[in-house]
Formats: sequence, structure tokens, C-alpha cells
Amino acid sequence: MTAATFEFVSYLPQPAPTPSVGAARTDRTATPARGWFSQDSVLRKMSTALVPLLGLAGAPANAAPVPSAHELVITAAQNGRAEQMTALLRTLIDYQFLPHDWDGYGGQPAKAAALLDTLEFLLQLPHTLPVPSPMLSGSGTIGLYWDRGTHYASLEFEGDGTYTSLTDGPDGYGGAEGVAARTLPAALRHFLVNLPTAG
Amino acid sequence: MSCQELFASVAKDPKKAEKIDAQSPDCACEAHSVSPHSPGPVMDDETLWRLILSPVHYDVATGRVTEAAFDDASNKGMSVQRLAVTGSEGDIRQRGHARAAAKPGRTFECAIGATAAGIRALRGPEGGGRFCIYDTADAADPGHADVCQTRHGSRHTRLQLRRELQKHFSLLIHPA
Repeated sequence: MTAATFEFVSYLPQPAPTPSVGAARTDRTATPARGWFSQDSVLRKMSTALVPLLGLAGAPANAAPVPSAHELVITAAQNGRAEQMTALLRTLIDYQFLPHDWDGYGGQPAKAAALLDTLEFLLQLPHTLPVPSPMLSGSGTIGLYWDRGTHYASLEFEGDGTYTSLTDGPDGYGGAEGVAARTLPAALRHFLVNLPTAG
Repeated sequence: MSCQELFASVAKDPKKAEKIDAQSPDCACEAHSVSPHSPGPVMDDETLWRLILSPVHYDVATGRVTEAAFDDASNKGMSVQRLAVTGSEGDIRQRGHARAAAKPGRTFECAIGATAAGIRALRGPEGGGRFCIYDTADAADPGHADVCQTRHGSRHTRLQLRRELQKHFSLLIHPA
């Protein structure tokens, strides 16, 4: 099992007696999120695309089935951090379905390649680190950011398999470009570990 | 090629900022009116307003406009309204509501403002660029201007510059 696979599995909730998966599904049906079910097919495509990235393509025949992204998200919603991640994933997927000129300045929806790179990054983000917020530029590039007032970090995914990071803290600016989407450089990790708690 | 001819040739170009910088480096066209519909170049003491027309650009948790909302400055030019030409802050608000109502899915979240002098004073890391402001008016919008980044070599510099813009646009007009 690769490190990436470990991180992926870590998003699954630990066995929890309540609420059951069925209950979670019922709850979501009771208060449907915007466009959620209409995007299930997209989530499945995402899940399929991510399997090889996670090193699961060569899994033995008797291995446990890989959950669909839909199942993954619903099940993951059983703990607080996963709920934040669920909301983040939903927003990122929504970005792909925005109409042309969504921002009044000719804005483009998210680039599919940028979305996949963003997901690849999130899948290896240690869950000891806070969940970032999403952002989208008018040119379709996707960003993630952590804004804690005096400490700010952002990442931008343009869809070429890499991202650019920017940190802005008491020591000034830092960051790097051309960072492989599935990696988290030590300097960025250190900055994120030391983010002040969200107010 | 005159500045007006240059801007007419790249008016709808998604890489307008880069092409202007290549043809007219160091914000040289700031000294001239780039549109026949403009009352004149943007002066340092003017206040410029950016209309935020989508909730995507607004973070309800922090109450701030996202860094990505300023990305247009690095490519097609970041559209802003000149308060001195458009009218009052009430006129800016009215324009925001009208623009939002023109297309389903848009909402007028707010307008954010900054002085032209402050925007022009922003700098990237050593030699890494700055912002020019051009009076890109048209007949229907004589108060329109564009904020355009110079020097397009580094992605990290671009992020740093747009972060500077995000921090500098600190004035706010609420939708109501």
C-alpha cells in the first residue's frame, strides 16, 4: 500500500455505531444540497480517475471494492473534518458546472485537469492539517487557501500536474512553483502545521 | 502604433496585460488616454471600484474577497470603475445590481475599492512586476478602467502580486 493510498483510506470514517450510513443517506435526502444528486455521475467519474492515482489499479481480485466517490463522501460525512472536506469537494465539483461568464467578466468554469490536480493534492493532505477553502479564478484555475489573518497560505492549480504555493506570514512571503500535485513540501507543511486556530 | 491603436488591437485578448506590457513596457501608455471615450488618463488620486458579481469570489467565513478574484489583472485586465467618472458610491452600487441582474446566477456581493496611487505603488519581488491602470472606457461605460500586471515570468510572483491587490483593495461598498 502506498502512502497516497493510506491517506485516501484515512478519509473514510472509522467504524462508528451511529449514525449509520443509511441514516446519513436519509439525512442528506431530507436536506438535499445544491445540485448534489445531479452530480453523482461526475463524482463516479472522479472516483474512477482517482483510482490509478491512488495506486489501487493493481489491487488483488479479492481486495475490498473501492467505494464510489458518492459512497465515500456520504460515509465520510460522519466526522467533523470529513464534513468540511465533503463541502470542499462539492464546491470544487460545482466549479466545473458554472456557466460561461459566471463572474460578469467572461469567467470560465474550472478546468477539468485543474480539478483533478486539486483532488490529487487533497487526497494526500494529512488529516492532521486543517481543511482549506476553495477559490476559482476567471481563467478556470482552482485555488485552495487557509486564511488566519496574520498567517495566509494559498495554492493554485492550473491543470498541468503541478501547483504554485504562496505563504504570507510574519516572516514575509514564501512559496514555490512547479510543485507536483501529489506532494506537500516540508516548508509548506511546516507553515500549515503552525497556522493559528481559526477564529 | 499609438496607445489607442494598441489597446484597440487587444481589446478582447485573454492575454491583454501581457501583450500590452510587451508592446508598451513600464506602463508607458498610462500617460496617454487609451480610449476615445475616456475623459482622460487615470490620476493617482482617483478611487477605483471592482464589482464582485458572484458568491464564488466572496468568503462568507472571513468576509473577504478571495485572492483569485484579482487574477484578471495578470491576463485579460481587471475591470474597475472610476468613481470620479461613474458618479457616487450609490451609482457604483446601482451598477453592481444592474450587472448582476443581467444574468441568472449572478449576485452583487459587494464592491471593493482602492486608490490608483496605492495600486501603482505595489511591487512584486525584485524586478517581478507591478500594476498599470489604463482608461479603457467605452461609449456605454466611460468610467471603465483596467488594472494590468507587468512582467509575466513567474507564477509565484503572479500569486504574490494578486495577494498584494487583495490586501490593498480594502474599501467596501455593501449591496444594500
